Amino acid sequence: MATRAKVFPTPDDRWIVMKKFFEEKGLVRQHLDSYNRFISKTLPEIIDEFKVIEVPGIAKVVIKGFRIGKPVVRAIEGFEKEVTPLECRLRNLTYAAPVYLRLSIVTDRGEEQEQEILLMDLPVMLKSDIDPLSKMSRDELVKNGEDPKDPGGYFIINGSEKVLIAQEDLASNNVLVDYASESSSATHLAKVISVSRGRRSQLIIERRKDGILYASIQGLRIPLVILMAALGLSSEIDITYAVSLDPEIQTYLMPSIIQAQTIFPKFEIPEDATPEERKRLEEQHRRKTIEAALDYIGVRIAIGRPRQERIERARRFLDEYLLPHIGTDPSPETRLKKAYFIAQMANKLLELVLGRRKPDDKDHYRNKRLKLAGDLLAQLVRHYLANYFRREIRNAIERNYSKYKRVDLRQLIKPGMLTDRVLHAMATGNWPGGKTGVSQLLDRTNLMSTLSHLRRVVSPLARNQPHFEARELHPTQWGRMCPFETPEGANIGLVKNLALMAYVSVGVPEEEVEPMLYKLGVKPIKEVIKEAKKQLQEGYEYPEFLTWSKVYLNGRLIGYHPDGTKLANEIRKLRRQGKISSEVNVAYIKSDYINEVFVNTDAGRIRRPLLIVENGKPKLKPNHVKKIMTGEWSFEDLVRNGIVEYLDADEEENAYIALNPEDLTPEHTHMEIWTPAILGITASIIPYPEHNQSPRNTYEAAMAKQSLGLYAANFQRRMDTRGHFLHYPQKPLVQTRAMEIIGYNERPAGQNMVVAVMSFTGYNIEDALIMNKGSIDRGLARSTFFRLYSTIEYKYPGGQEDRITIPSSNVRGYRGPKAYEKLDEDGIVTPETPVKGGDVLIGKISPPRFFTAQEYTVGAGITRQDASIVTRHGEKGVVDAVMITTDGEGNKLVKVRVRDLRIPELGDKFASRHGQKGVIGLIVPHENMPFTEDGIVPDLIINPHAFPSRMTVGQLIESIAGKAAALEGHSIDATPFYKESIENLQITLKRYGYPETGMEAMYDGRTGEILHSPIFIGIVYYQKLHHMVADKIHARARGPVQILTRQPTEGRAKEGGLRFGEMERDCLVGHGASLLLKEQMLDKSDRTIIYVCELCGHIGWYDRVRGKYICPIHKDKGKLKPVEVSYAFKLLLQELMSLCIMPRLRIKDIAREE
Amino acid sequence: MYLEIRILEKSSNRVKLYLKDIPLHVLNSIRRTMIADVPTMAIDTVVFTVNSTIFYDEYIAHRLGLIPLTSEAALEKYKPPEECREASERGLFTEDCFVKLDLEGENPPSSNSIITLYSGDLRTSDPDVKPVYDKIPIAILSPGQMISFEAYARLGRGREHAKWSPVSVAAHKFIADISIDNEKCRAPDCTDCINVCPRNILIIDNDRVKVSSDRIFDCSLCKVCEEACKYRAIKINWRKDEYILLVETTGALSPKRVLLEAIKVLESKLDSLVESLKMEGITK
Ligand code: SF4
Ligand code: SF4
Repeated sequence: MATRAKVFPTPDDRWIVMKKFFEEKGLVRQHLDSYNRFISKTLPEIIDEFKVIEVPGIAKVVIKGFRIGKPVVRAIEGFEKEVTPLECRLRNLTYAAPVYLRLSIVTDRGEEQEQEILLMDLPVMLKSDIDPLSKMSRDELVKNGEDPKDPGGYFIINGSEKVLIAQEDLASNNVLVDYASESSSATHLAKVISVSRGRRSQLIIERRKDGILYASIQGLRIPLVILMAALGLSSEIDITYAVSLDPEIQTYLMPSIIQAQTIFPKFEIPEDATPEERKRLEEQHRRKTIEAALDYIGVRIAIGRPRQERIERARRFLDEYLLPHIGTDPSPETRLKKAYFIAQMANKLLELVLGRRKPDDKDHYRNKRLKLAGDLLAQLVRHYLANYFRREIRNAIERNYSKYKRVDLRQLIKPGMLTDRVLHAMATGNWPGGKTGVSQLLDRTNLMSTLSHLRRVVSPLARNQPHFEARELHPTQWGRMCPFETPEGANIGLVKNLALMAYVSVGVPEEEVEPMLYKLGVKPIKEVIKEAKKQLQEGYEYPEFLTWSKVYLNGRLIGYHPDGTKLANEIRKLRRQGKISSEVNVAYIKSDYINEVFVNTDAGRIRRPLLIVENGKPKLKPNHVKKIMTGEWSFEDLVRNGIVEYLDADEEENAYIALNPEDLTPEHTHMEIWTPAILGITASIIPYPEHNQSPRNTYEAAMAKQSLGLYAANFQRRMDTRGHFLHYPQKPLVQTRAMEIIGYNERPAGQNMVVAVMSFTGYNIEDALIMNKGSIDRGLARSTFFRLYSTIEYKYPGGQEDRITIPSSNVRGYRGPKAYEKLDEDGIVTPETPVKGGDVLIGKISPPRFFTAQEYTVGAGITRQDASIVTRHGEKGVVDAVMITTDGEGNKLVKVRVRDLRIPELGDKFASRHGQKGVIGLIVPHENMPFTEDGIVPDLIINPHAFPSRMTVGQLIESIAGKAAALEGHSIDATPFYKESIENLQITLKRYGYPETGMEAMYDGRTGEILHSPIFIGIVYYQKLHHMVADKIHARARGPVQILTRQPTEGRAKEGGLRFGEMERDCLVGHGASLLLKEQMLDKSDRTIIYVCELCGHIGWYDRVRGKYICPIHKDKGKLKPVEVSYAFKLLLQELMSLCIMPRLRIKDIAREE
Repeated sequence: MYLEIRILEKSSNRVKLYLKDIPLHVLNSIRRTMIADVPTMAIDTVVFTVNSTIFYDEYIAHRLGLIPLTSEAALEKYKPPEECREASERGLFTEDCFVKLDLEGENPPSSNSIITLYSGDLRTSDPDVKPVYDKIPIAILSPGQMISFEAYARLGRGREHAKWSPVSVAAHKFIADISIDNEKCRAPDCTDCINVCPRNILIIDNDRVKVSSDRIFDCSLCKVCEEACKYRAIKINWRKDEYILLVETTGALSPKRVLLEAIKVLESKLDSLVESLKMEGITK
């Protein structure tokens, strides 16, 4: 920061503020907040929805309340025991807390006594409010076997850690208008997805080519005007004014109104009618119109039913399925509200038609909401409660109710049913509604990958469609989504990660805000229409409201305000004063035609904190920073005092945000707190990312998640199915500030290596690396690999059970005595035993799955079969730990962890933090390596060709910075935008007698000659990636074949062959190497001899009893000849036969022919 | 013929020599021999009886191997690496090959501090072979953890594993021969080369760029001055058969000993070549 003027707030001041934010919120706040809200608000609400369960004719069950217990495990003996997450992981249990309901049954005899029943076991999110871990100190966490750095935010289901991935969705209850596709019959569309309390329904309004508007809902297409009439807007004038006050738009509504007139009853008022009569007639007509409209709809739902029922059905349909977010109660007010909402949709649509507004941008983040763990869980629980719980209670009471006995619900309601369904969804990731992959196994490669996984966001768009716009970086992603971190390939741009500073709203109820808006002068819509009508009748040309701003609350028009700017400013002022929730955002959008105020209070908006600027001066003052630093103030205090506020994408459209204090002008409204926080977790560890070509940062963001490090401090107490840890992980010499808060310095995943850029022997072409054997000997990049083998001793119905023991030689599938020799008496290997592929780790015998024919006939003495757990083919290691316990059902559970030392070898993959990856191409003895005059020998030599085309200048700077850091003895700050200047680093190098270019003269270790060109050498942080040769190396000469086709198996785990594919085959064909081709495709694969009858061409067989070849047609009279074919071909013939096709092979003896 | 040798720098484990008239291939052979062929003692096999620390056996064994052991006396006392290597592979820890170092440590479960075991805690069977430094941490014991092992050290060569390499630094450098073309040079209007030189080799003297003769050994031949000169007036070259050799040992052997041993190893290699030639009857 030497080059920038020291204007307050300096980067250091701003960093203090930003750091406070992370310290307070942690990095998985969004999930924790969402889950906490689910527990404290949503769950009570859901249970409230089922408050009264009617059992027709008998009784009703009333829910009085509920409580959530502590996380427990239920032993089969029946008692409950408190459980720690670690125990759950080890014993394949679920970390869940019981939810108890207090119920009472109300019959005509009055209310029975309250009963408490167990509703379900609710999975507990780690470190959430109901998790005891959240209240523990560091030492207590350690005592409980937890890594104190573990972020929490995930669940433990059947022993495996599961994340509920945040789902990005189009904002519900918001109207989006767009042009219709060319091929459809419509020209323009307005869509809204209305979601409320688990109900979801879509309403589309389309404008046909003839200018008539239609609404479609639940596959039903209704003319818009009729729909509005059915909702209670009975007169043309009401409908017109509800849609718009603007005559031009009203004109565009005419075709729809004219069309609808055909179904409406004629309305004539006798000239001489008295006012009373007139009123009565009007009222009568109103009712008639509504009924006619309802009937129009009813005809389409309840086909062939009487008129009265049709109308009723139509009403119910509209109440329940139309715009459920406005309400589902059957009151005229709610219907009217719906009508107004639809009118606004029509208005917006017509504005688009008139070119007054542009189609809505679906990729703008104002139109997107995130569904986090709490929302997803709520969806799940609500779904199963609605579908099973209610029915269960009803059935239970219907079946067991008696006049004389109290019904004991505890006996009748099985909690397992609900629990199992919820757990099943969470274990498989299949959510009700057909979404898959919602819950995923938490990535534990290293801390980065874990955190990044917890902050992942997926978009529901199909990955096999292009969706170009959705995948592209949208400007509103700034500060919300990481611009770098996204996978390559099919999912690019659809799977994203939250930026560091992003913060997801949990939502405040509309009811808290709506009255306040009216108090601020918003005129409710109903009044507006009434007054507008009056004004027109009084002879105004336009009602004055035309110039007023429309005010929307969460996408719903609630009224008009004379001055949108003023309203927005007042709301902001109230928010800054802390008088309304800081979660409320307001945006004022004005163009020539559009004049709208949007107030948002809903959940799932991605918001980011910004410093408030007034008159070109940030409201943050030095004493605030001091207070933050001393801990007197928290980050929330800044929000409460109106110094910092969170903006959503909507409100950000109104903001003018400065990057740095030097850029501030009086027009600015906000300033970034910490610009580098626009990056996500993994992109934040890249030093100098602003000097790299963008895709390189994307590559690195993906690779950081594969690098080995210390994934959890309790790794020895965990039993992960696979795991790696690096032996001597180092803090990077070249740091970014974000590492501090991510915890990268405590759980690093890489080592600082001396890297020279030169070709040296050329064994580093095409991104290969040359490594120094001396460095490897000294422990560079060593790692340990764990693999878990586990089995359960099951008990089967019918008294059969598994046994963990050393199998005796008479079991089926016995592997020979050698395979079992490492087993202890109890049938399990001892720790610290070296094992290799094929060695049995846990000896187990199971009852046979199929009986052989012999066993059927003999009956007695069924042989058991070997079900031992064997070390994987091609792997080796040392037994690290053995654990014997019981699982949730009380079965014996054995887990064996095997570890394997991984010393870098030819082919292991490494990568710098700049997307420069490569595999070891050569390991050079120390004495042969090039050296500098100081005797520095590089650990790694990379090829200069790695740079020009990739343009990863960041790595070159890191190399120099690393060298300077080593010379100075302290780390160098390489935070993007606020880094230590490169000039300073060069001065440092020069001060220590090194050329500032980073180049040094080097000598070839083999000859001792000086290398004529100076070599660029410095220190770069390299990561060892988990792709290692030891896991992949594979060859086969002979081996197992598939049973069906008799062709060699595929894949390393099955000791498979290497595929000789069609392109390879084409080569041999092209060369005319026919014998080689035959050998490859036939002899080395599935060659078989079949016997074909010369007379009929059918396949025959050899009858061993009679010693004769038999033809299926000619029996033993056939002339059967051996023919060499592929077994797959024989299979084809037989398959054809099964299709009633008779294939015949015409064979002839070649020798006889000649 | 004698070489000209000057000692530029000397300390217990570091020496810098100036050598003149030595051919490069000879010097480099010596350098390479120092790294790869001079034998030292290092722990090769570790037998664990107890290890409940968080470090794995192979992890601790690797750490033990890298602890430098004093080897001055050991070179005479013990059999050469080639013979001992076989013995170790067969698991025969004979006294003429191996030195036993053992360590026992326990942190009682009741304690609430952490114990670190250092190289100085190793008990050796031969006082001549002991860790050079006492403060190299081996393992950390938390309460309730225990460790006990016997480690066997033998002579070995850096070629086999870097732990047997007696030197951490063995490097030579060339000595610069800087020529300045005064015709082309624009000094004193231009001082680019002087400004960029990180070692302050160049000075301005009488409005001319000069090489400060007492600092010439410091020139790193980085050619930055050459790059900086817009007029191609300065040229970096090097003197023939004049070198500086820098040796820094791990402490197992003194620099002097390393150098002499290296020469001895080279000599014996040449001797055995002569022997072989004789045996083949090629020479008399
Ligand atoms: S080669 Fe380097 S050290 Fe030598 S004089 Fe030139 S700049 Fe200075
Ligand atoms: S840079 Fe070249 S021209 Fe300038 S002083 Fe040095 S040698 Fe002379």
